[in-house]
Amino acid sequence: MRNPLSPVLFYLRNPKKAIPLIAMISVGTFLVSLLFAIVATMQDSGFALQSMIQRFSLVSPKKAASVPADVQAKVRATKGVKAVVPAYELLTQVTLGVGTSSFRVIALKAADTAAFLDQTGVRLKDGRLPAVGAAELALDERVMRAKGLTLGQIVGNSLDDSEWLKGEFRVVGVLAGDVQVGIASYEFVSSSMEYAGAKESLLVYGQAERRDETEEGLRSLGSKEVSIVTWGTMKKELDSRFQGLFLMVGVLEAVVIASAAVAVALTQYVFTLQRLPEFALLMVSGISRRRCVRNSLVGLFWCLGVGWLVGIVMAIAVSFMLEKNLFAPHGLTFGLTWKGMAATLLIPVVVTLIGTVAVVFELRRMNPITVLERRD
Amino acid sequence: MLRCEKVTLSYIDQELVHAVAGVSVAIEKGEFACLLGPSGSGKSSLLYLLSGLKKPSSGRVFFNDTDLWSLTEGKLAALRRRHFGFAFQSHFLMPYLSLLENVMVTAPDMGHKTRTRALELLERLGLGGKERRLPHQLSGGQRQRVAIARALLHRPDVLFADEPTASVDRGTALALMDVIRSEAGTLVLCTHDETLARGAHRILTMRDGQIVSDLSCKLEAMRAE
Repeated sequence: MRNPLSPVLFYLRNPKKAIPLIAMISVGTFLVSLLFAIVATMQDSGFALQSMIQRFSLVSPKKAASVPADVQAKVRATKGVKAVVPAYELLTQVTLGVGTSSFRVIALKAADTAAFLDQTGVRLKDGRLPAVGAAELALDERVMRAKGLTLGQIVGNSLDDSEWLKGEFRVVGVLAGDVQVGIASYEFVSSSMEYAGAKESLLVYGQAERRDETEEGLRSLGSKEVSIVTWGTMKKELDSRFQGLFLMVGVLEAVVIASAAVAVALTQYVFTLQRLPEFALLMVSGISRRRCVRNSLVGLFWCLGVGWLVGIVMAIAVSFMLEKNLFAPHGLTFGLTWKGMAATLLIPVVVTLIGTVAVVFELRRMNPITVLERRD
Repeated sequence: MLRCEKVTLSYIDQELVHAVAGVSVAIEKGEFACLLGPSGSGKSSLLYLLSGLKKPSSGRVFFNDTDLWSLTEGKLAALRRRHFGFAFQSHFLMPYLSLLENVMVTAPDMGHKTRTRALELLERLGLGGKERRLPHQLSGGQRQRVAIARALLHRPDVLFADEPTASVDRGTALALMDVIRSEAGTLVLCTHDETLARGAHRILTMRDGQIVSDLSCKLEAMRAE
């Protein structure tokens, strides 16, 4: 026989009371963890698309067609610089699960391609590299998935107005590696009508062990004439780009957490008020006030635990479905994060704080005889 | 066994009111004491004072020579749980518990003996075979019987009963009183129904917070006649 004083029994025998509590906690947990997962995926994919900048820095002219000779000399003289390679930056648009992002395709001279692949740690997985002077591309496999491209397909704004690549490019190679890169032919871009105004940039390869020193040196070269993109400046830019989003999501999450927590705590408080005659009878019969408080709170904690677990299971199930149907087709992974799950714990924590104060306050000030005499 | 010395219970309701005014009384072990009086006479208040449910404004209350209000809240609660039983005019059953669970809800242990005792009490009170039912499946009188079984389960040294049969018909009330009297060691009963006081060893009549007559000796004399 179950102990009639079991704190869980009240909720087990009163599903109409337990279910709303559990549902509120579950929905709150579900929303918060999913919001975190979406933001984390957006941030991860944003960083992944710019990950090539971890392997080289970019020096681009602001007005001139190429980097002025004196700046070039300073770049080459910067501490830790291993090599400097001329290149064009082409931009393409990549659709993510949520929103879009730009991706750099680097147009390299044929002679510099091998060193580029070596520097970035990228290998040709399938197909071939772009032929010299040809309107061809080799793209990272994840970018290809995200753009819905396969080998041999043609991409460009002559086929699709929303595409940022000008003219037409045939995809001839699939690249794989830790960082995501795209390669085109320098010779083609320099002679192409579509890219007639393109500015020649410099790829700067640094020595891995002196990266910070090199980046520091390059950043000091930033001027009215050239812009410098290092991993440090890129991270800063991405962080500031996501800052607004984080703020918005943070406010949204705070609202969800506060709403769920206050709703649950108030509902629990109402249940406690409804159970006052029960607690009064127990106290009169010699069950301590402390035990009554514990009984009420342990029941609440039980609901919190179940609600939180249900919310997490719901979030896992939905994130699995979202990954399969929305993110994976774009080459993205999607899943709950530890940070997100930890944030959901704020709901039970806030409920516990509010609930404990409310229950302790009500049961401590309660006069059992007054309740039993129905003079409340 | 149970005594109070010059206890007063006062409260302010626009003016100072003495619900119990300087009452001293001693109740012996095994005694059936009936507090009789009209509504508002102070009999329930005296019962709450004697059982340690209300703290006297002045005076002291003793159970087996222990001053109840010298105990901590926890120890007083433990004393009530071990030695006292309570039956009220309303049953205060927990709607989500079965009859058996309601009877056992305040029991110090949930062992086999307690369960057997609870089933026996339900049987004696005419609720045999209904232990799994929920309170809403019973009549008002049946619910009151469950409340009485709950009060008697642990064989309390003193049963405090405040109009416990007010919600049942006279025949049932007398039958319930028989069970209560046979099970309770010492019984302190509050009632305004003089027929329920018939078997009492002692009738304490109250008015305006004071005991205006103590019929213990007279009762003995009457019985002897």
